Amino acid sequence: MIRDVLAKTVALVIALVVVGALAFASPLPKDVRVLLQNIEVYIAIYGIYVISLNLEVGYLGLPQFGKVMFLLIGAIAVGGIATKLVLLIYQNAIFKAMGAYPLAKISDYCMYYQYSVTSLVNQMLAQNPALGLGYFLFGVALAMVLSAGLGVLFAYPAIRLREDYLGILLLVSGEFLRVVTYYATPVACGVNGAVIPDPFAWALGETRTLVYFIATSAFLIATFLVFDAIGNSPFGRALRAIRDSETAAAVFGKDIVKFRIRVLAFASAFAGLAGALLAYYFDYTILGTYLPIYTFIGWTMLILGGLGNNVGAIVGVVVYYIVQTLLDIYKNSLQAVLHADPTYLAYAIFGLAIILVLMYRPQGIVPEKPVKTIDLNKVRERIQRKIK
Amino acid sequence: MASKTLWIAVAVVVVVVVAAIAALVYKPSAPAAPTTSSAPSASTSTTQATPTSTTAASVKTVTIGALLPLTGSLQFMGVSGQCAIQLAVQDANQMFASKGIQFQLVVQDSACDPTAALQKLQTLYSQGIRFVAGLTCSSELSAVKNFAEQNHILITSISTSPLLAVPKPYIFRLPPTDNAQAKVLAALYHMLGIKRVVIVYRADAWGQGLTQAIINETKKYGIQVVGAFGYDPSPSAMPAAEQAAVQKASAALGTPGPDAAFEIISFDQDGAAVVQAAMNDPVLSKVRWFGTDSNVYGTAIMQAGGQALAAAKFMGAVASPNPDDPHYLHFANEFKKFCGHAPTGYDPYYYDTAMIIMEAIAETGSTDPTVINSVLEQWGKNGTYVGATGPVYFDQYHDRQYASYLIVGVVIVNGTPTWINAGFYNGTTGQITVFPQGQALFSS
Repeated sequence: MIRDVLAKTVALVIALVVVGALAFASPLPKDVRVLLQNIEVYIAIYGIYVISLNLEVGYLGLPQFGKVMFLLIGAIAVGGIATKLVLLIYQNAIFKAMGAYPLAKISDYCMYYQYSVTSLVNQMLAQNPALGLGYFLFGVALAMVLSAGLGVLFAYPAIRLREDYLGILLLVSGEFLRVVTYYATPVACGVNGAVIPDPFAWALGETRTLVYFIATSAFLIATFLVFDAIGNSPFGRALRAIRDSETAAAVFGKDIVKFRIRVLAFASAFAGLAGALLAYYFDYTILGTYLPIYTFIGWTMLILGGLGNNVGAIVGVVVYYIVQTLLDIYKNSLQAVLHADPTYLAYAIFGLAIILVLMYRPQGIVPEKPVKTIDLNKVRERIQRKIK
Repeated sequence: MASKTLWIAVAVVVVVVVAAIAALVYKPSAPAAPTTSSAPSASTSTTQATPTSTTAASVKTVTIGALLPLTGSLQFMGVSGQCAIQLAVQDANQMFASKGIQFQLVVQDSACDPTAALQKLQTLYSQGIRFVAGLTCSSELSAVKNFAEQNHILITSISTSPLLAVPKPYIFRLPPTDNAQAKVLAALYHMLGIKRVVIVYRADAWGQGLTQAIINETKKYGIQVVGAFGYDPSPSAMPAAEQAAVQKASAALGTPGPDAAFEIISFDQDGAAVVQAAMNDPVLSKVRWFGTDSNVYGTAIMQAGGQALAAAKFMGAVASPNPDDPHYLHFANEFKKFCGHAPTGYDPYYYDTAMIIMEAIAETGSTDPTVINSVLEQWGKNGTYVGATGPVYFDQYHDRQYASYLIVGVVIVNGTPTWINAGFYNGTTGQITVFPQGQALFSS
């Protein structure tokens, strides 16, 4: 089992190295390489997001319709908390340069001075890469902790209820948090959005993208390793048992509520990590844009790739991004063939793809396989040897 | 041992990636010259994607991009703006045909979503496109700012947020910032003897920014903003959110009077909900009403309460050249023929976002964004470019300055409430000129 997980992880590492080399050190035209570089970063971030969704939906059968909430919490951790911490650290230098403390009047800062202050902070972070790294890791860790806590908190009222009630509660919780934080300026500059200092301000141009590619790939590899190990552990097998028949699992002594809480906390933490990475990568976040569509994009990726296995989750993300990018590039050409407005083409194609996959290949591109466990005879032999 | 499925999955990914890269590297050949005799529908994209190239007939083909909110909350602006940009491309192809330059347009939907905007910009970049017009939302511009700067993509935008009044190489904003509109509105209040103003505004970046700017500008005239009440502009909150804000505004204003005014900072649809709530209010229905560049000329707001708007002598300001300006008149006529309706709000600005780029390319013969950036900076100092929105001057942040505003109001014409051009605010002199048809709106 361990060897299987490690082999898959090694395959992922090799794939990332190959596509990384293609994007950063190949003779492809620069404009194509730049697109590949950025798509790879998105795939790595959304890979983490969809793998975490897979644990909830694919392994446990939890109706996670509020997944975008954790991207939002990640953005709040970075744009609303970690950013303010850096501003506090540099507040005296900012006061010297601009004559005002940035957080003294948050509404003015958000509306007028964010870019000037952030530009100054970036210059200072460029001189202090260690602090930049600390700020990056703090934001990431905070996002994970907050997401885990809030994930359980928001789901708790319906954690014992039937799946549909829990799904609706999670969906509503995501919207509730989005609307409340979007209109609260102190959280992350509300409707203006938060400009985020760059933790890797020392890296410019393509180097910056390379740093983000390495960072996001490392997190993706770690996420894959952890989630695949969990999925193939006794814990993972218990999750599948609950998914397939809650009643049967309960009869065998499995506490369904405890499993739900653990999975929600663990998966939410990693979705929060994806949200934090996205916010850092963009240097900017506006909380009002974390709409439920991002939950359903995650579901689309997962359904296409295959539920209940992490390879399928990553394949779904890759296929989604490649198809979407090709559609963006060629939709105007397709318009001539289809004689239709291409604006909604991507929505139509992905909608159709989901219907077709669910009708003809509900297991997705990469189907779930039974978990390999150690042969019972080998277990008996080991026990016998120990007894002797 | 890794499973067979894993290796199948890896093989699928490799094949898909290789196919995708091949598709990316492959550039489709240039299509035939676009037809210009018929107007395309406002919701369709135009010509095929092709990077800068030279055809056999020595006609240089330059492709520019447009990133517009064709879906989402600002779809109504994006769809109309797309038509304005298509018109600009058609005009440029006629104007600069003698120079051997042919322009093509590739349109992407940004949905007013920063994440989508950046991804679409990266897609345009991969197609060899280095000039992008029409970015609408300030949040989108914030998200793409660094990528555009690092990769030398020249962007022209209609964003107006004061937050982005910062150095931003390769990005130019054609409309003035919201501070300029606030100046006009404050001057208008002052001219009409207003001393107390209550504001109801969309609680988004634009609404909040403009409200704050009005509060700042009115202080200079000794005018008091007695209250400013935001509402959630999402359609799901309509009309309850607007009604609640109007009730608060009414209570804050207290008593009606000739020195009091009600300012509606909204778009068209949500503005209609505000008007419906305010027209029966005992206080607000007895004072003057003012609007903004995003609700004047609106059809929904007019349908919701045209008579009430006329009774309240509703007026708002739209950044615009003088309506008698020949450039604007030409644009307005062409736009109506091409798009099938009169230009509203930001349409002339969308037109200029594309035309200023194409004119700079045609005049210099260069498709280097760095060169065009310098040219636009120089033109912005001298006001060299004169487009549908008049002469364009840029400040040190590449934001429009000296913008003039048309003052638009509602009067009853033949028994029907009608939008009219009531006056003109000259951005250079700061003077308001009242047109003969607008006299009734300016009388006490």
